[in-house]
Amino acid sequence: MVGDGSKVINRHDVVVAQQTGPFQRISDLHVGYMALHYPLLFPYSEDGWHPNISFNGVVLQDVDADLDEDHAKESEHHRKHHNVTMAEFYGYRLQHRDTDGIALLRGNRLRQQYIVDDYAIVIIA
Amino acid sequence: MLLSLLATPQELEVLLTNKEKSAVKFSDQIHMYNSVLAFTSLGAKVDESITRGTRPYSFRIQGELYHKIRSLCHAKGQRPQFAQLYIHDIESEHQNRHVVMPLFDPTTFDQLLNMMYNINPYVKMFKMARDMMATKGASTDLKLGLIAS
Repeated sequence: MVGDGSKVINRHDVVVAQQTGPFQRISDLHVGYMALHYPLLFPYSEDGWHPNISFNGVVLQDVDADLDEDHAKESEHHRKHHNVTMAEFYGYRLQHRDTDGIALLRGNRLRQQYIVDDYAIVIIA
Repeated sequence: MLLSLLATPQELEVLLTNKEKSAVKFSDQIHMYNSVLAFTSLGAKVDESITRGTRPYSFRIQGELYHKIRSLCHAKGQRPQFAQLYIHDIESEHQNRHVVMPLFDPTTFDQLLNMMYNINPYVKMFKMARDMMATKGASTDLKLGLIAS
């Protein structure tokens, strides 16, 4: 159980390794899905996609300040329904950035495999 | 704002960018090194016909693809694999992995394994599980849950 119980834990939030027994399948919605499988691309186990990554909200928040109640509600609705999608996230990750570590970019055959993996989870999502 | 990926640890960066023989060889075998260091294994039908031979490497699968995690302890008579290797005691660990992959360069492999022990948060969790099993005895039914924050 996490926190005060207000957060619903579902099968996407947890990976359980039991002491003995058969293997467990991991949900592709778990934030560690890629990091657990590609330690040489993500040596620090950086988080993958999860459903609650919102877009950079700076513009929306600035507008909010001067809105009446109805517009504010609308804006809130807009924000809630504009989280980063899985395809957007993995697309973002694949691009080169000077600020990023180089492992994912230089991963060679492992990178190929990772891209196939990305594609597979995005098309079934 | 999405967080950027942390700077690649130096030992790995050298292996990925250096033009020396051992580094170039590592680059060719990175998918094999990764599969030994990974916590999960791949469930998928990999199309072997296209990966063999001298053609450029290509990773093709058919049907479903998923990741799976094994139990913390390996079954009797079987070799520990994947995350089970991080649970296993350290001395036999290097030996275990060399047995798994005799093609590996031992120096390169030890460097990567040390890197994992130094920086990887999942390795720390599996080590904690190992310590708990050692103190509580193997009869305890221990589960390791990796909960998304």
